[in-house]
Amino acid sequence: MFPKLYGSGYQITSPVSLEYNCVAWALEITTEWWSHDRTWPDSVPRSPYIHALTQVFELYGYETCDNAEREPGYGKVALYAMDGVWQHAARQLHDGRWTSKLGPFEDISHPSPEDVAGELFGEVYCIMRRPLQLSG
Amino acid sequence: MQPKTQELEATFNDLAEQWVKETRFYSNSASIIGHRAYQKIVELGEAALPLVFRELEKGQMAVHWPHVLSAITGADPTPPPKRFPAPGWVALDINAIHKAWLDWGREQGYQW
Repeated sequence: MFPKLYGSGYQITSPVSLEYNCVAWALEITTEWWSHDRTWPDSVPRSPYIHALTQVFELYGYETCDNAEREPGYGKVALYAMDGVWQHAARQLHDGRWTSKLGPFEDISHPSPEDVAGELFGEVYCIMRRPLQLSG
Repeated sequence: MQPKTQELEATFNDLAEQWVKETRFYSNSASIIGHRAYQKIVELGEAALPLVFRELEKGQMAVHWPHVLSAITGADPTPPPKRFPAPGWVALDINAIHKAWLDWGREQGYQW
């Protein structure tokens, strides 16, 4: 499922949970499952397409940026899409690693956004960042 | 178990295994129900409902099975969404949806 993940040095960092998914986790929320037919902001179109997901993150203060490197003063997320449909979101940790919630399964940490890209989640569509004081 | 029932269950189990295996890491509902096995499960119709409730009750894939139940029955027993403290942010509780469907199935007389 994740050929790039194996051998990357990924770690499982949480128990299995149905309470939240990758989008919620990228937003640092652990009580809701975010999808256009579940939890979703009224002001964003209820659409499965990646443009709707980028609008969700814009509501949280994120803006697109051009790299996934750790940048002092900023928190970053990576959004993934396949055929225009969003598939996943990951968030950069303070040490530069990335954290992903895998559907209803565990959270993992992994070295780079590309580790979970591929056949299942598609490719990284964009990297977004926001000032760290907006986090949490 | 009657042969026809056995055949249905075998077909369902094969489709369910394929669907869950290939979509279990998805969060986007469009991707979950866009899988070909999902369509085939829905096409099994009402006869498959006890098998669907049985899978739902197992719990782990509670995000998946309500889609099938809605598509086959046309019902929507899910509780009304709640609103976040921030205005206009609508939430549907996965666990509440899970419980509402199991309660609905029992009320309708399905046994699994």
